[in-house]
Amino acid sequence: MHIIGRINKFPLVILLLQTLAAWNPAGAQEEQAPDSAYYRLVVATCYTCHSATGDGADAIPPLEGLSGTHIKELLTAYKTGREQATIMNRISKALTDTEIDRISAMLGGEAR
Amino acid sequence: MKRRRFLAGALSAGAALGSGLSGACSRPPGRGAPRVVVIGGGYGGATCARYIRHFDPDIDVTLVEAGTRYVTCPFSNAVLGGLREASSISLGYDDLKKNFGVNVIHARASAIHPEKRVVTLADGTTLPYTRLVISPGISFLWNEIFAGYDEAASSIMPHAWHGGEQLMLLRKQLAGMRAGGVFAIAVPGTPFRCPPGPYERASLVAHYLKRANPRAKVLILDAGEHFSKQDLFEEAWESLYPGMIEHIPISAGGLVIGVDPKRMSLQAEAGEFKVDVANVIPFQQAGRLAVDHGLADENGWCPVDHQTFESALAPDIHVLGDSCLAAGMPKSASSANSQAKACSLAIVSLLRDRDPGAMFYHNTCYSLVAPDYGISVNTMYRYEDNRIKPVERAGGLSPLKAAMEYRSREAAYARSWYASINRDSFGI
Repeated sequence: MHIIGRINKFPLVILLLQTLAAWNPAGAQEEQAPDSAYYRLVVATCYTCHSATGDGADAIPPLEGLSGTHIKELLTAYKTGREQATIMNRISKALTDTEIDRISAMLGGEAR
Repeated sequence: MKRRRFLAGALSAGAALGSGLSGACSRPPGRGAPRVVVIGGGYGGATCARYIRHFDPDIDVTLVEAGTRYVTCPFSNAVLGGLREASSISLGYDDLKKNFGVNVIHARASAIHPEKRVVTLADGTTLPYTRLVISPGISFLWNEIFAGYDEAASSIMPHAWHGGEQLMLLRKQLAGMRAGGVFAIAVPGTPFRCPPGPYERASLVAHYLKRANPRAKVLILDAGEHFSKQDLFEEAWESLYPGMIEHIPISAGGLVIGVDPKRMSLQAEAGEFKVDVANVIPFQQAGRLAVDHGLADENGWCPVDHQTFESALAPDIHVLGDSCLAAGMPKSASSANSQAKACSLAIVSLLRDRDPGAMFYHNTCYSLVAPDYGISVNTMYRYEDNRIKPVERAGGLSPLKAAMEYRSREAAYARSWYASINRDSFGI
């Protein structure tokens, strides 16, 4: 609400946003989602080993309820070796910093 | 070029996927929706059915699987070694229906008609498809290399490589083995389903025997030279089961060339071995459905496009899991799960006339050497230069000479991984 209120004061901003929304390099008809398909695939990869909520007995921590900031901190620490886990050090080294940013935000937000 | 392709794919597919929030997955697609038929309800097929609905609930997905229960290969060795009951490794399909709106038909698919884009079921029902996914697992090369080993021989010398009755038969034979007997495992040539599986099996059989039959031995007759997680297995065997497990690689005559179930004998290149229990795991190829429909190459496996898993030999048919040739990805539940997710994403994009874009794949395999002793290997892959390529300087094996605390954590993770992948693949 707050953002819309501010934008309404600036018709040029609306025009720019409308132009950007209409510009569609890939020819997609639908409105573009905030998270791209590729990152949804990477996020889906996490769920092979991690459950969303688990059953309370999982040694591998469930992902729901963790904040994006916390996940990003952990992944970065595993990637650099600052934190020693088992398999997560080996996995996080495969992720780019951008991937860590994006999937952390997605996991911390709508989760899937 | 690569970056442009990546961006185009990511943006465009993202648009189609925008409505794929988990809550929306169970609603039925509208009339005239594209229809994907998935044949085979193992990890590959179940995951693919689920994730197409997850990524785009407007696609109608039908899963065709003959069995109403799926007995998993992961953790079947734990059942063999007495760590679990058989019922704990059996899964159903109700959650895929209920939570993801997948149509599940329990029937055998008898024929694929690519020219008409139709699948025929054993009862004569026909299912039209826009795209077809098959994930038919493996089939055995009976009576090849292991001469004399056919289906009848497997009732005396079980392979136990599909779970079910064979697994229970082998468990019974293990429990009934004479004191000080020899439990032999004949390992096929590569590639085969679950590369560390025979060695995990040797470990958990030794774990069982250590208490129940301490003078007994485990003999591995191997058609290969080196094996998955070899150093880790051998380190563990030395400390947990000293002198109990003998591995004979091909260079030492380990290749089995004939079996005689009546005499309980395995003829290897090194000579004849009289054993008490023979677990003969035959050489393998793609699942029958794939082979019978010309989807396999001269080596018996299915070549596919690495980005979409579409068959290189038939358009609009995707092949997943153990049957397909996916570069170095091992034939594992984890690989099948990962391939299925990439394939789902590709199918969703292709059905909307969009570039499937960048892909990410992963394989993690845990093995239990004892109930509290786990080891792992994992690899991440990307789609680059039209191929699945491992990401360098990432992945790898559990370290050698690790503390027992590390091994016990990985054993707990192995159990937790199993619960999670089942939830993920079967929509639980």
